[in-house]
Amino acid sequence: MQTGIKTDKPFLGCGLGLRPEYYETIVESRPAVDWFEIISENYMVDGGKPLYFLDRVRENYPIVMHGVSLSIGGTDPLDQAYLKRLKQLTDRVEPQWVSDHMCWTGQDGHNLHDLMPLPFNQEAIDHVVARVQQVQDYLGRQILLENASSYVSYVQSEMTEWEFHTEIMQRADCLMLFDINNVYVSARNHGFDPLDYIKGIPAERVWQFHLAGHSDYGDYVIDTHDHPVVKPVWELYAEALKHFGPVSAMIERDDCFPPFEELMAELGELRNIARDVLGAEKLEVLSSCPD
Amino acid sequence: MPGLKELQNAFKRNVVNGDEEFGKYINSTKAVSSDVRLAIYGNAYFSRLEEALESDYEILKQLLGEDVFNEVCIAYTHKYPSHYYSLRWFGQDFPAFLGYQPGNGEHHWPAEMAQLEWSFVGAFDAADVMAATEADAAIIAPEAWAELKIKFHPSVRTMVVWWNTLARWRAAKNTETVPEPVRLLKPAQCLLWRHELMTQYRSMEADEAIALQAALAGANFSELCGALAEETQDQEMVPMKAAGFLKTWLSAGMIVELLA
Repeated sequence: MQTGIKTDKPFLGCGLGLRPEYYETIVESRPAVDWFEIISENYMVDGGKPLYFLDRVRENYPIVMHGVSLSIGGTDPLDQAYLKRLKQLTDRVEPQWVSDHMCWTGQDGHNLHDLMPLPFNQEAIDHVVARVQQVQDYLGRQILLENASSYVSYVQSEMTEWEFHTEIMQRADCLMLFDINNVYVSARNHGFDPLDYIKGIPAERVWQFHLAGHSDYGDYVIDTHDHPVVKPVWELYAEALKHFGPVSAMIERDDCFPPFEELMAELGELRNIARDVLGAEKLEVLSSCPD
Repeated sequence: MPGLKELQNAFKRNVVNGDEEFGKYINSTKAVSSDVRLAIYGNAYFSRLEEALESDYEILKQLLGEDVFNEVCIAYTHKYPSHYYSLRWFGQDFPAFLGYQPGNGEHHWPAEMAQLEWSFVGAFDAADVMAATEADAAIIAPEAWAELKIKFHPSVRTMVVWWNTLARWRAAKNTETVPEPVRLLKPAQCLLWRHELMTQYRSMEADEAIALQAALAGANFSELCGALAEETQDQEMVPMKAAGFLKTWLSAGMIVELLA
């Protein structure tokens, strides 16, 4: 099936997160992965193995940078030392794009090292928009913000999460990393329809998808990235492709690391679904991908 | 209604100290109360920071046992909240928290083990600089040697061990039987560095440690020999000894430049 959606956003194909557990395998075997995503903070070091392998992988693959410490919704001033280091890393990596999360991560200099949710209200929108503009001006590029998983909702919220994201993206002229697993997790935790979320986001703003596994506790779900992607998330991915068109997609794995072949098998599933929804023609760019 | 700043402050207090006041700003559902929802963030906070410490202090955790290590981590997390954008730096005060006292060795073995493991962390991702070689030393004019200064690789670090920490670390790392902790009859010198991508360590004799400390502090070759002479009975051996150390350091990739 063809979606017919016209878009000029870059389409990298099917990717994986670059993790130290797989450095040697990736450098030695040059697997058929279209691109890799790095966690930016893991490479904000002076030298040694992390930067060595980053450079080796970069020689053969496009890379995107994904951060966890920008704290775009935080109320401390933006961390200039962090931004400087982030920019230095972009100069080294020359990534296709740079992303972080729609969240706050700490206050009064105390970093909680978590993706803390924001209330979906006008005050938070105004606050985030101004900060996104500062970051984009400093980095000299648009950034992508990812929808984080959440386990709480605030009584102060005045709108849906997708309305919140959309207004920020439109006012700040930034882009979105649409995490399909996070939409599933938050939908289960808060009782909304994930399809409403997908339909509520403007397609042209979505440049990247994340898919991952989670831990299901019945009454609630926690985003743990330590399991394979589950069927409902694959189904949601197909729906997202129908709505958003071709979007560079990747699988995140951050714990309970399986043999690399298992990740490659998941990557194959990612590609099969994209081919089914978008048509084989669009996937031709992915000639190096496994069937 | 609180504004964004107050809301985040209250949330932070809830995560770190379990302050229940914040619960009134969170929606409960029939299936999941606000308390259960907030506990997800509180649990994640402590477990994420403990994971970071586990990764830096793997052998210490193994030797202390999971329960003790967990207690220590929680206490540390309360006393030294992270002020870093990367978890890479969160564990840097752990040796001091455990009472590490490099000057007089009046610390217990866990503090020293923590310092050793933190030194490895530092060597692991220290800046990359191309190592100098013996060929670089060979081209130095004889008259330039007295003033020669040595620039070391950024990963080079030393520490004094007052316990059998090195032997215990090595045994644990190799999954061999770990000896009981004992204080050494006299403190020993330990050297750590990274050669290419591999972190290295070894113990040093007292005279090598003196020469290395002098060179690291900026002494030139003549001053280095002077420091060595104070500890050497046979004075004629001093220049040869110093040259031997230099050769050893060069072949180990510890030196990046010889400044003649």
